[in-house]
Amino acid sequence: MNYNKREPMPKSIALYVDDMLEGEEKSKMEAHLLICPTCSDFAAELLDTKNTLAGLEPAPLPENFGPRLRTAIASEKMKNSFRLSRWKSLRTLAAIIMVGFISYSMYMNMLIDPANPVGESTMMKSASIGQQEDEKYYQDLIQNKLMNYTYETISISSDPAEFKILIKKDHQGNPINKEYTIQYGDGKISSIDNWLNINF
Amino acid sequence: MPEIEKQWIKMAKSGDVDSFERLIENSRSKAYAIVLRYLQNEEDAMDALQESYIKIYRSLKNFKEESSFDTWVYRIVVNTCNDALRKNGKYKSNVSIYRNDENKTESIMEFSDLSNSPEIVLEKKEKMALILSCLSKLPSDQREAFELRDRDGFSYEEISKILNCSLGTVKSRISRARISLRQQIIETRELNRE
Repeated sequence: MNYNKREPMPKSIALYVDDMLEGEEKSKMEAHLLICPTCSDFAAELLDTKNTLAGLEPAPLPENFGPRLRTAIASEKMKNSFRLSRWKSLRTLAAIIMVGFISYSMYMNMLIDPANPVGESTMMKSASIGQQEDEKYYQDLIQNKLMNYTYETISISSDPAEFKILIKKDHQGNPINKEYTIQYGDGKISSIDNWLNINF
Repeated sequence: MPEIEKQWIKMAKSGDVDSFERLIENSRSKAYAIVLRYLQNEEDAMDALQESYIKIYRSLKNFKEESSFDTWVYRIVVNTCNDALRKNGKYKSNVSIYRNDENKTESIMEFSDLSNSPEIVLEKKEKMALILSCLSKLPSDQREAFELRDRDGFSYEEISKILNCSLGTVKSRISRARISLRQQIIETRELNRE
C-alpha cells in the first residue's frame, strides 16, 4: 500500500476505525474513503479484525473466586487488627519503660543533688530526703521564690516540719503583712506547692 | 462517581468488607479477563486477581475519589500482572502469551455468536486463532494498549490512566498495533498458502 501526500496516513485510518477522529479530520477521511478503494479496503480490514476480536467472549470468572476472595479479605482484616493491637501493646510497653526510666533518673538525680531544680517536680517532691537537707533545701527554695518579696522567717521547726514566714510586701511593693505556714512533713513539699500556687 | 459508590468507598475505608465486595463486584469479570490474558493460566490468574484485590483493600485509604474507582482497580490489576510476569522473567517479552495448542486456546475463549452454521463458526475460530497468533508477535506495549481497547472495551482515556501514559502515547500504540497486526496477518496467510 503506497500513499501520496494527498492520501491519509495508515495511522489516521486506524484512528478513524476506532472513532478517534473528529470534526474536519473525520469528514475529510470519510470523503476520501468514498473515492479511494485502497484506503477503503485498508479500513475494512482493520475494522474486520476489530469486530472479530469484539466477538470473543472472555472466560467466565470461576465461581469459587468469590468465597476465596472473601476468606482472603477476612484474613487480611484480621492481620490488620493484629498489627494494630500489637502496635498498641508495643506503644504501651514503650510508655511504661519510658516512665520507669524517667522516674529512676529523677530519683537518682535527687539523691545526687537535692538542690537541683528538677527537685521541684512532683516526683521529687514525693521522694523522702533527709530532714536537715530538707530544711536547707526549703529555705533556699523559699528564698529563691520570694526573692522580690519583703518577708521574714518567723520560725523553722522539724516537728512538725514547717516554716513560718511573714510576708510584708509583694514583689510590687504592695503591703501584705500576712503570716504563712509551709509544711514539709514526711519529706513531702506538696504543701509548699499549694502555698506557692495560691499566693503567687 | 455515583453517590452509592462514594458511600461504599467511605464504608470500605472504615473496614466494612461487605461494602468493599459491592464496590469491586462490577470489575471482577473484566479484571479476571485481563489477568488471564496476561498470565495464561487459571490458577495464576486467580492468585494475581486475589493479590490485586488485597492490594486494593489495603490501599483504599489512599484512593482519591476524584478519579474513577474501576479505572484505579484495573490499573492495580495490570501492575500486579506485570509484577507477576517480571517475577517469572516474561515481562515485556514478545514470547507468545497465547497457547499454541488450539484446544487450550478454545478453553479460554468462546464466541458469543452461536447463530451461525458450524462451517462459519469454524471459519471464525480459525480467523480468531490467526489474529491471536499474530497479536502475540506484536511488541508488548502496543499489544497491551490494543487489547485493553479491542478486547476489554476501554476508552483511550481510560487506557492512558490504566497504563499511566499520555493519551497521545495510547493513540500511537493502538494505531501502530492495528497496522502491524494487519501486516502480520497478511504475511502469515501468505506463508500458509506457500
